[in-house]
Amino acid sequence: MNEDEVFYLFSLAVASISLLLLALILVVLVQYTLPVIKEMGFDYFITSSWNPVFGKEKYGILPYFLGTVLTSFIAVLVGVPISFGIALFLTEYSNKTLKKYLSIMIDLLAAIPSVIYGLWGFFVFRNFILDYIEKPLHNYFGKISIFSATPTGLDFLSGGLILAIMIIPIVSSVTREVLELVPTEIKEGIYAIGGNRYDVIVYGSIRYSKNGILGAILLGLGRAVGETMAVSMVIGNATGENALPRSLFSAGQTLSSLIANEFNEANPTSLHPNALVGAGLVLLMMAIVVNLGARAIVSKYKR
Amino acid sequence: MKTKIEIRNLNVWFNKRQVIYDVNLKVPEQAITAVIGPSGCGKSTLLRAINRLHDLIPEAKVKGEVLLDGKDIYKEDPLVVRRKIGMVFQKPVPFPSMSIFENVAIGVKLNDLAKKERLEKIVERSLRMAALWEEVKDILESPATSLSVGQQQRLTIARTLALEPEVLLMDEPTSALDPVSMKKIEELIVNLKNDYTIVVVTHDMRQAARISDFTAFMYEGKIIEFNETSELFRNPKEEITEKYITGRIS
Amino acid sequence: MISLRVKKKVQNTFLFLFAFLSTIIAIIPLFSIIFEVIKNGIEAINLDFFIQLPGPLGESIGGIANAIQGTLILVTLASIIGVPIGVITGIYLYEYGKEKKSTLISFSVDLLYDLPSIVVGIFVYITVVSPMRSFSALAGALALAIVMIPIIAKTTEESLTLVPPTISEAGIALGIPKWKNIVFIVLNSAKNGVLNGIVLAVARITGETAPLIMTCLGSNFWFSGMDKPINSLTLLIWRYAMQPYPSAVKKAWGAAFLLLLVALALNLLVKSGGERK
Repeated sequence: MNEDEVFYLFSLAVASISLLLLALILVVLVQYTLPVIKEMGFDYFITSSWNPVFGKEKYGILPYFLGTVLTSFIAVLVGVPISFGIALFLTEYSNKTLKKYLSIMIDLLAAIPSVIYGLWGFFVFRNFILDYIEKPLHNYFGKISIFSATPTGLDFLSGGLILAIMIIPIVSSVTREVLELVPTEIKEGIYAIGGNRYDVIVYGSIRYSKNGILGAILLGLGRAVGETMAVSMVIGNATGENALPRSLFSAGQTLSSLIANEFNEANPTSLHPNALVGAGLVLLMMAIVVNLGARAIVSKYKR
Repeated sequence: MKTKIEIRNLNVWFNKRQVIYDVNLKVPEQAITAVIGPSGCGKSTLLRAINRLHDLIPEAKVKGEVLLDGKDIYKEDPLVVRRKIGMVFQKPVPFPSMSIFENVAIGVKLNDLAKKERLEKIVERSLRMAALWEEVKDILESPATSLSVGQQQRLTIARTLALEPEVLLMDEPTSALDPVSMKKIEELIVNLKNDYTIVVVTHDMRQAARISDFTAFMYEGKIIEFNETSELFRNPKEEITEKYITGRIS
Repeated sequence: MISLRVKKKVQNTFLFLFAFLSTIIAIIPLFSIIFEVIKNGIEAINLDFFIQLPGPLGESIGGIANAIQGTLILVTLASIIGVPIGVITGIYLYEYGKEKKSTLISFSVDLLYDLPSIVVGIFVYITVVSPMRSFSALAGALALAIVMIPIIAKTTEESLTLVPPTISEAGIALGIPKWKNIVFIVLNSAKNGVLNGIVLAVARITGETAPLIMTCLGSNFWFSGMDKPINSLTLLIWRYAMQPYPSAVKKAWGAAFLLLLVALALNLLVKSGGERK
């Protein structure tokens, strides 16, 4: 065996750690979830009661699954247009210097630890949301069910909006890359037939890069699905039936915030930890599916 | 004159496409042999076959023999072959994160060829041979990328010389340089032929005429004609050679 | 004709306003967070803040020294484990990752990269904390190392890919063995990018909270062994932020100040380093 072969085997062994870890994570999580599924059956996935008290144990993760879906959906709904606007501003309206400093600032949003988002969300952002968004909406549109609950600022909307801020850096930077790939000929072609900048973007850039933008959206969704701390601090942490999303202004819970809040309190001899690990498994599946989709689209696009 | 390298029935393919056809060539020792020909004729491919660089490309297939002092290099350890047969590329490729000194020393160091104490001597000698010592002796610790392109090319020559090779292969070594640097490198090449066997690939016929002792003309993957340089230019035997050196094909 | 011109003008103005306002909306939280963290954090900062234990909840004395110590220990230990594995995995992906037989490995690195970090925490809880019957510094560091590995592997691979192939070829032409060429020539040429990746990964795990909750738990005391619970800045922020005691909340802001400073400094360091290159 020559030294190159030794090096190959060594690096192969080290790189295999990742494969091993991933396989172990899947196996261990599935194994740990099985007892609760045995006990609860399929109800574990489609019911809402949550009671860790010994003897009365009942676990259904539907509300938290829906909570993750709803907050991520709000995040995408709000975060993606803003990210797209930023990408437009940087590619179309900024000179080099402005572009440089603005993109550094947007990137810094990604550098802030999520627990700090949570702290800020709990003390600052929540009040802003409450006073300037939730109360007016509730006062004027309170009859509509999604605005019906009494606003507190600690609810699905706050959770979703803080996620919207957190996905901006990734979505806007990928969108920007994608927009910069639009060939000049396409833009010039539309200018040449009398189009303005609006036409160029709406009929040229967006159509040309719609797959890339879709990839960016999925990347943002992936980030939102897996995020834990910030959401756990502003979503109100309801459990059981109460956590079902009935209104944007009702307290809720996501899969990850549930785990963060309850894991250390769970009695190891009960099924409570198993039920929480199961929530983790569902979360992992959601993250993998979304990210795989995003990766497939983005890598295909870049090629 | 003694033959240093003998190429016998050499064929090279990339995937299914053949780029070198049955090349036979005897490269004389301690002389400069130029390989000329229009671009795409396979002259660089031929040169890289002598350094076994095609080993790295899975799509490349080499058939035939390249004998160095009578021994087929394709039957020897490629690492030893590459140390004996140095290669200088078209564009200078200094290692960007290393100083001038490290750039020259690195080949010797990574091949465990000399002790640390001897490194300094080797570096100085190599830089002197590459006619660069006087210009860099006070800035040996500066990054190699701070040198001018012409200096960088002499640096990569010094880096190759540090391994004390027997043969120097040069792939259009001056085509990325300005005329002054080009002249320096040409003088350097001529000086080096006393100690080395040199093969220069060039698309510049005047350069071949200026510096080489022998010239091979390649066309469409074949060697059309090989002769003493003065003879080949004054008195080409093949019609196509004549057409090329008179500028009627390019 | 005029109406068309007006329409076009309105469209352009609308587009500009949309882009401009989006940018402003994104920048406001950044400044708000920095402003609030500085404003509230600076009040918490004094000498005791850096050298004292937190003390009983609700008391206004004490500091967060054990959290600082804990974060330093966790990040150092995680890096000792995670950096070499990450870099070597990156080298593997660069050199052999395109071959068919390594598809599975590069796929796993991608999936590991996408894993929500709290899932990593659960995994380490089941495989380390549970059998050892104790939350521990070791478990926390392992969880952070797992978060780190795919980040470093991917940035290393990317930086290596950016090295021009001519450099690798020049090394090979010198008769340098392949593995030495990868490590001492190609990796060396990419070292700025690789270092940037490592710094970013360190910044990232310094701010991680979720995987620590169920691995090292947090603690009110000094570090007392790898097999014992340990505190971290992030855990302290999370636990203290929602306490009803103003003194605890103040400590949370102080810790956030410190953490934000480190996170922003590391990120800006990488950005300015990237430009010099």
